Amino acid sequence: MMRTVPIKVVLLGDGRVGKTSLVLRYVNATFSEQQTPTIQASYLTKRLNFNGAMVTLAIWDTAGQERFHALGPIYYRDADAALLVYDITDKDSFDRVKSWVKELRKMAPKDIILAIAGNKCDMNSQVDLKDSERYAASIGSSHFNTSAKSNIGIEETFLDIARRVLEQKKALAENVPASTQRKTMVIIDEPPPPPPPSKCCS
Amino acid sequence: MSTTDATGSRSAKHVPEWLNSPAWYSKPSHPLSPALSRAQSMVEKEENKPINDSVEDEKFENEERSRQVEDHPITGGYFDQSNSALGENARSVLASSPLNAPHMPSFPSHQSDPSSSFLDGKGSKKTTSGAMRAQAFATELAKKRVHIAELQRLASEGIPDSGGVRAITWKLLLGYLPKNREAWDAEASKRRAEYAAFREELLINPSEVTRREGDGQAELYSTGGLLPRQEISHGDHPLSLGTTSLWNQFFQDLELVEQIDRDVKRTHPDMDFFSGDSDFSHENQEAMKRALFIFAKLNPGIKYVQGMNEVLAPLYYVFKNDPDRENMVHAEADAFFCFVELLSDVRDNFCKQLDNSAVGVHFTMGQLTALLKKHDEELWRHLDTVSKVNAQFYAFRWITLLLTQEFDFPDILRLWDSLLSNPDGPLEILLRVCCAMLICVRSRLLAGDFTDNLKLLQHFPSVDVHHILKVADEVKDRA
Repeated sequence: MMRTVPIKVVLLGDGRVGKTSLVLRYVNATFSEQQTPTIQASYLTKRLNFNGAMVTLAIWDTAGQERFHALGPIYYRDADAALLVYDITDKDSFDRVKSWVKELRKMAPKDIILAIAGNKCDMNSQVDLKDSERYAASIGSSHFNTSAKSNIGIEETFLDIARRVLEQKKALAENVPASTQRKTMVIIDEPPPPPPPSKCCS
Repeated sequence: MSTTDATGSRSAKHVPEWLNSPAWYSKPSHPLSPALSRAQSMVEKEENKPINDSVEDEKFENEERSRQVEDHPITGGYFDQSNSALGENARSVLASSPLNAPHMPSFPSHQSDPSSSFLDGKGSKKTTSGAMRAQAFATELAKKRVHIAELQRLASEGIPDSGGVRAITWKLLLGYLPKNREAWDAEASKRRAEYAAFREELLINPSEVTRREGDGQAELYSTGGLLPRQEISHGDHPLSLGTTSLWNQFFQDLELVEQIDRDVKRTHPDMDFFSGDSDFSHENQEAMKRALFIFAKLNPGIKYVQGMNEVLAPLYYVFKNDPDRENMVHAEADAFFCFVELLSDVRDNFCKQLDNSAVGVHFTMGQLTALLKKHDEELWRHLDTVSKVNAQFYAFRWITLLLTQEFDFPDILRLWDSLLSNPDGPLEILLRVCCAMLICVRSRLLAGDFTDNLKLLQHFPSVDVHHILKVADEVKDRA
């Protein structure tokens, strides 16, 4: 039996930057100009065959409005990756990405994979692309220009996330004892034996 | 119980033709309402009957749920006491409001127009029980003094769609209209004038104020006793950063306006009434935007929260489709006050600061979980322990938006009939309905894992609302 690797991705970003449209384009191949605002968070999944590895992306599409942020941690607490979305026609939404990164540094798993999407790239940008790419690089994130409307860059964004998460999981599996692997790894076989009692001095 | 594909998105939900029918929104060319229903002609007939229920009425008066909003921890009344400048001004305006419109009152009591509307065509298919229900409403609404407990009982079984019966009933249930029928017109006029004053007070461009200041006081006050709107410091200008700057305030407001604007445009994208590209839908959007903006200004502790447009929508829709022209024209004002009334019962769920308090949304969701545990422990255990679907993942939206994103629009109206008529308040029945929704799909939930169940509950399948309400009643009876 082939094992499926679950990857939990959380979408974060200001209200109305197009998080839901991005996910619906990716998961359902649909687009609507008048997407209903997300209240709290929606859950979607997509299965991929990634170079022979079966992957299930479990995507949490969160609400953008400030009011819902108090509820944020339960969605990104054990996420493998965060996709931070901004609207290239709205400079403020890019600043919100930066504040999300700060919050994730404090609250999310240390090794969380980050990706940034500058959405609505079918329109004229108000954000300097060089700046955003430089910023992304500085935090170890990838950066993509996307358009849910024109279906640009979305597949690439999620594939990049899946690839980096898988690489990280692989590296972890090779270099660290099984017992310290992230709990999100699904192990179909027997669970690994408990770690031997510590022999270190107290 | 019928089910559909659980993955169907909300926009794919079925909207019956009649909801988008032009008959709902062709502007009346006639001074009298074009389509008064049978129910209303019955109202007239009943009006002359002897009334002998006044004693009984008094008895039930105590049973009516009180709508005390003053005790609220964050905001006091429907405008926030901490809202210094605007609240003060708004109150002043209220106190001295010179507005009155003698032509305004016109609740359907002395009008009749037997011309048949498409609703009559629809009505002919109705069952006898439907006609009897309409008759019962007509009888009740014709009384000199409406017996709220009786109206609650009737409404809990569903309010007729035609003839503006729902509009009047909801206004009564929400306490917007007084029980005393003779006072309806005066009360409505008063509230509508109040709303007009809010609009005048709060929806104003600062350049207009600056200009008026320059023109001198005479013009400013010539409109009839309005108090000064705001102290304007010397040199207030668009680049001023002072927090008291009118312009600074204006730009903050602009952000609020944009936020509301973008959400209102996305209200029920499948209904022409809200989201079509007609003058009529634009007019409706403008009305909803104004009402939400005024609410946000008067309630700075909550402001505007995404989803409020969904809660306002059924009220505005029902009032705007009142065949009585005068009521239709004032749908915005009426919907605003009813929205305020409704939110006074449920607004703690909209308040982030209260999320973890004994009145906040987490507590409410905890109540739902407890209710489910009590009535269906097996299902509760499966959700809680086996599939680990936290109520927060699905019930947050159910509760804060009063189910407006989970059902087709006609079903929302029917559910709201029950919500608004519940003697113990909308939240109590809302929790029972949520519990019933879970029980109605229990076999699928019991067979599902985390992903299956979450998807099912986030895209609730189309289940007969009458069945859900029946189960919700049973949940109460066994309580």
